[in-house]
Amino acid sequence: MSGPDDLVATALLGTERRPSAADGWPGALGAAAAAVDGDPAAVLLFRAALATLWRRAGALPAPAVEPVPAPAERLPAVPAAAARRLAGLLEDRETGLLDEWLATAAARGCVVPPAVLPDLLDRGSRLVAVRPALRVVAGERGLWLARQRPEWAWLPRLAEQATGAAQDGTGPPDLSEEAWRLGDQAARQRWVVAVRATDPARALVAVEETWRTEPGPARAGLLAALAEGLGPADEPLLERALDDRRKDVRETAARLLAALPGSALGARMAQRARAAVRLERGLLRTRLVVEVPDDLDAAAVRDGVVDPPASSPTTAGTGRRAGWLRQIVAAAPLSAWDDLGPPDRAVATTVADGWAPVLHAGWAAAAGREGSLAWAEALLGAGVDLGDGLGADRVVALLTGLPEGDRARVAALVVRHALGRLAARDVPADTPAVLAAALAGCPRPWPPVLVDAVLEWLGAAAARLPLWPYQGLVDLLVHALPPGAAPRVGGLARPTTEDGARWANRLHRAATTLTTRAEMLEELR
Amino acid sequence: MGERWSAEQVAALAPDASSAAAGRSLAAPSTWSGLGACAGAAEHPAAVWGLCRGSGKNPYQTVVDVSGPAYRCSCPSRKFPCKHALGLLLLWSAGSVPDAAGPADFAAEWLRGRVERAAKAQEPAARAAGPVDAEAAARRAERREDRVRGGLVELGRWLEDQVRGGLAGAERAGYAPFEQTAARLVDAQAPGLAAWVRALPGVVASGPGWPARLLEEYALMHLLVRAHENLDALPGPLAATVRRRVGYPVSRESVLAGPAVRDRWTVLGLRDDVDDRLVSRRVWLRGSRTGQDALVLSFAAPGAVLDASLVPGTSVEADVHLYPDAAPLRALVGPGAGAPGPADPVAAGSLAEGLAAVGAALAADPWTTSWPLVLAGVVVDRRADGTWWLVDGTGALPLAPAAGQPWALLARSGGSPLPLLAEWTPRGVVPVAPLPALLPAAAAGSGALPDPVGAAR
Repeated sequence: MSGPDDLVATALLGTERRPSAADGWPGALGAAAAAVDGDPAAVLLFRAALATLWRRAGALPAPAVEPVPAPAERLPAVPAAAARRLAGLLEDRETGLLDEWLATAAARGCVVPPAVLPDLLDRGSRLVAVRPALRVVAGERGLWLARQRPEWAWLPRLAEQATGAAQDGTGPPDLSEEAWRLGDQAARQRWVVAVRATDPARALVAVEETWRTEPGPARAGLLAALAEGLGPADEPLLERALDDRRKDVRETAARLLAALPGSALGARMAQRARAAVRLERGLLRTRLVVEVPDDLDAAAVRDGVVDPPASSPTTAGTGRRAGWLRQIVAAAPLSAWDDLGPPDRAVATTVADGWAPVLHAGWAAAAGREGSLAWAEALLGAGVDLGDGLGADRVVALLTGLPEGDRARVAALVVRHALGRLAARDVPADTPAVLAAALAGCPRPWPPVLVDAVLEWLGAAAARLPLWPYQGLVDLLVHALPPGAAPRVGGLARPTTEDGARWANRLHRAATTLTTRAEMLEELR
Repeated sequence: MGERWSAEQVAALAPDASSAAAGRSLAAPSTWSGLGACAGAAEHPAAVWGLCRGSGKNPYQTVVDVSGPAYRCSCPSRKFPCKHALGLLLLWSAGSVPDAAGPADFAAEWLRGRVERAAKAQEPAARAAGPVDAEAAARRAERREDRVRGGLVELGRWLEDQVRGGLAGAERAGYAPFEQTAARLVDAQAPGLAAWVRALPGVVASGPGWPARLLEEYALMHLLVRAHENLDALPGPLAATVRRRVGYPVSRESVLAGPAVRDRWTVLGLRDDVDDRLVSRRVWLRGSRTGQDALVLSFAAPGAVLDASLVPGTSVEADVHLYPDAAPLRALVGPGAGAPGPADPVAAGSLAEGLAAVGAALAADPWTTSWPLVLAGVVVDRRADGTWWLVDGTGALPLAPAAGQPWALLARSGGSPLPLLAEWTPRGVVPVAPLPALLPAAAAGSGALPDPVGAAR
């Protein structure tokens, strides 16, 4: 080695062992390097200075191919005010509005300014829930960027899944026989769902043809897919599936048959229910008397009645027989109780020996399944005390069965029920969970009937209850109340006590956030 | 009261981006009560104040002395200014704070204290400004020069010892020898060289290829020692550069007393570097008529306020005083600057043109380690091997390790050219900020590049 690069090797060894040489240096630099003399160490340092400046001052850009630009965006950019808002939300996480901003922008079909993409992609790496919105708002630029960093690989994966799904079923679905015969398990399930939407019989015939030869897991999946467009024609196959070897197939069949109006299983369950729960007309009062057999017969097991899990909270202290009764009542059509009168009268009927909570729980599940507003209102209505608190899972069961438009009305009843308990100074421990379950399921923004109930409850709660169990509920309000409610929320609490001051501050902040949220949604309009 | 600040000026006060954004979200009148602003008077400076509702029981009391500026807030934030002060100033800049005759009670005491402290601070300054004992000063300067000379002789010997015994030992020796050498340079009143020596362990620890980089540092340091020996023989500007790099102090007064470049200066961009002891702000300027580049440095203790008078993306008519250097760049803004206006278009160039300017700067000052690159259109490129580059039609320059991984800049570029202010360093390029408006390409040819040596002036 010779020339300027040789200097480093010499310096590493030390000039004591090896002096530097000035041969092999280019042109004028060589002349300058050769002109230095004196102490070998000083000579080396002078030559190194020459070489350093020669390299630094003479550097040229390295030859390079200009990179390929990211594809052009197909969606419009968000409006300028919304982009400014986004930058603020990204920094000020306190308000929790960021995810709603992203979801709104995604629904509108806009893309974000490129500079915020790294922050958003990092958020997507942490929070799976925001990824679907990010897939839209990140746009082509975001996809281009995410492909360059392994931490962000979820975005390209998500984008490919979206295009993939459009190709094999959920976009414009492929309804051909080939898709049914040749698809994998998931694709065949999608095929069944898609075909059921337009031609339930065709899908049923296809499933029946191959039923015997399908492997177990496929049978469970295909049966579940029949939930779409369920009708009386499906009953023979479902009845046969009750005798299947696999538990998940049997359970799915029982669930679908219970949901099928007029099914034989429904009739058998109604018979079992009324055998166990008799109406006894006495001289002074009419009451319901419950007699559950000590053993489950084989027919009941076939229809999907199972032993409850040993420590399930809904059956604690009531044992296996209570569990059976709840399942039987839940699977029986509500019409089995027509002789008790309209739902509110039925719910008001006295039940002997403390069986009321079990019976009401079964009715709640049946009301949820059938989406019966009348039964839901009766079970939650004023004057009816369910005795065991409402139970968050029962509220969820009730609400999910109802049409979206009816949910807010029933949720308002739940809130009014809680308000009654609050007035009676008897607040069950599960109230925060029950309210959260009732309110989380309501479509937004809430209608006035629910808003009024919630604000009335908040006003009463702020005066009497500690804030901390209800923090999550207040967070929920910010996203669900109509923006016009901000002044009412802000003025609900009086800071006369320590708890009151906490409520006042929290609600004031909620009101501010509501206003911010209204501005934010306006900017994205 | 004085002129209201623009929202951009307020934003430039923010200690970091998250404070700026938080301040923006607090700039809503509904969050505040007791707002007011007043002009300066004998017992208080011009000020803005307000009560901000926070998460606690009591609202935060926020006061800003806009003549300083100085801030006071009852919130527990250690950011300075805090988001409440920034929100208050943004409200004020938007005209949402009503004028008042005098400060509110909660603001008055602190503001009065500020006026009193300012008056006290004036007194010693007035005393110091008395007649100077010129003879004593000359004696002091001579003693210092002797001490520096002695320290540099020792440093020269140390450097030669290093290459005599071989660099290979540096890795094993650790920090101690560098610390000792640096401490002796501090004693010898050569703080510039002391800081340079203190940075050397970082070079040793910089990964594969460190011996070549360490040799570069030793060689240039040795060159500075030898240049100092021949100080009297060097041309004036180069001698000034050598003295400054060794660490002789240059007073603000002497720079401001020197010649000024009157121009309309466009603020190209700024960068704040946080050290555990000091926050330093670098603001890069470009004169519209002269094409001169300038770098204004300011320092503050962490938590204190940095100079926010130069707002990126604006232009201001001002006298800029360049430090006397062989490749003049560092500068001070003189008194009497105009109000910031919209940015003048900037004449930007290619990577090759930028490197040519760097070469000219190095020819004048071989110890140059930073030079602005005003680039008309560069693509930020991250290659598959994980290396980062700036690319244009003339080629590619690698980013310096100090630049980190600028993903946000990559996102903005999106593989397309971006007008960019970047800083050249011997280890690579450090992007600073996208540029304000550019001159049309035809006008931005190589001729429009500034004369980096400043010989034309």
